[in-house]
Amino acid sequence: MTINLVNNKFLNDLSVQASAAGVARSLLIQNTDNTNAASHAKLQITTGGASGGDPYLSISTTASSASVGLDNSLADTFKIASSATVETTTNLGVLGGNVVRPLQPAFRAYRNAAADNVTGNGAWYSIIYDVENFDQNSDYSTATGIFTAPITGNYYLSTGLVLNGCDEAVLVNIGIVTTSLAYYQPFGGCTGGHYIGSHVSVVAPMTAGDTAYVRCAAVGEESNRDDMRVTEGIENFFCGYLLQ
Amino acid sequence: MTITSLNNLFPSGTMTVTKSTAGATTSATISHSDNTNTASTSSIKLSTGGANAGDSFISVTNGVANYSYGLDNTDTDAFVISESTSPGTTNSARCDADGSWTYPSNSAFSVNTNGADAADVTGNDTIYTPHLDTAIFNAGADYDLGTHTYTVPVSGVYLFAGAIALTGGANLYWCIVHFTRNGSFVVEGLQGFDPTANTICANISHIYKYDAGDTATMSLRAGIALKTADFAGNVNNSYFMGALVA
Repeated sequence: MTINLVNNKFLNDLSVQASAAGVARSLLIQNTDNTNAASHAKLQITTGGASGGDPYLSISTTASSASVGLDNSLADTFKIASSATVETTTNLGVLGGNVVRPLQPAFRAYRNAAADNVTGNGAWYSIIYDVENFDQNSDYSTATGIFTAPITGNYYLSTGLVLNGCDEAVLVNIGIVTTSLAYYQPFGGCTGGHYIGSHVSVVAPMTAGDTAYVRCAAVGEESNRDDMRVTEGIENFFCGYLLQ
Repeated sequence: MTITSLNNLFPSGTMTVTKSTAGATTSATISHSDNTNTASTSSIKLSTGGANAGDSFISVTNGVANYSYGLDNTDTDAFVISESTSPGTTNSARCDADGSWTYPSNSAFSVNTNGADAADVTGNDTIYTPHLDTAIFNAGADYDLGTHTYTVPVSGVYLFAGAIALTGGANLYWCIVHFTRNGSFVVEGLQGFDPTANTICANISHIYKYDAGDTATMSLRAGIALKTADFAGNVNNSYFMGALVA
């Protein structure tokens, strides 16, 4: 037997192991005093300095891992990561007091390809935003124009619409259509072939697998001759993120 | 040599695992190898004495940065992530007993006008940057009230919202509010109008990815007539706001 415990210091790694079924195994750090606000219970994890490694807590089963601590190689960012070490992924990072979540479902796409004669005489046009600015969890399809909620939660969704070529439209409607509810914003028409536009922003409850897309319709033209305005892709967009 | 471990207890209250071998990890492992019973858990438990005692927390430090996370006894037992050696000082994230998360140090701002109108700023498609120089809040002080520019502190996804109002224009057919990234338009909100209307407005909100150091501003323009439209300084009509959201 080798004893390497000196003055309550383990001079090598410490391991608490068991295999008894149904019995919990734990390391308990306890301070039973209840009279002084400085009577803390603290687990401290420390590394040697800027040229050393990462101090972190690693939690794992045989199926998955998570870790919480500092990433020395990324400006000492505090991280919560879905990996066995903090250097592999960043689910939540804190840098300079700011909390970022690079894997949080969030997307933005815009319409870049011309889309002429899409509405004007009442036709509904489901808009496919064909270029992504970003899509952090790959939840938006540039092929269908549909965002699919990856998990149940409340989502911020926003869209902007600009049509041109309106001569006689008396009403234009734009809406974000989710599986459970549609959110429409009707607004007045225009004359003289000028631009017309509006936007809709909502917080929508969505169940995992629910979808959202954007559609519009103009009413009053002799035919469906109104066009999507696609200058530099800044007018017609669809974006959203998991708010909570 | 002093052995003070008795029946797996360290009564002195301190236990340290330490070594300094270069390239090797120092570890304390709590391991349960059974895979037949869901009660076969392994855990690290931190426990204090009660409402009058201290905090239960984990502290991580690498000699450069210090963070701690755990329960802050003096803050209604909220779970916090703090940029300090103990919870409660410089919180970055906080979860209260009801489960609500807030991010007290995140960059965010909301500004509006000082109430003054600005005459003849657009109407002929001239781009105008309104003087949004009154802060409702400016967490992180990243919005410059003098230059009307927001400088992004860290790379991430940001939410922006804004609205403008114009008065006095004649024969205007549309007005637009823009947001920029490093001087280039990244979104515009356009509203079309009856050309006989006297007051026109536009608004937009969206999310966009910015890198640390990028700038964001809000501007407007209206057409297609003469440069006789005035920016309305009403504090309730024109505003610009933004926040780090992911």
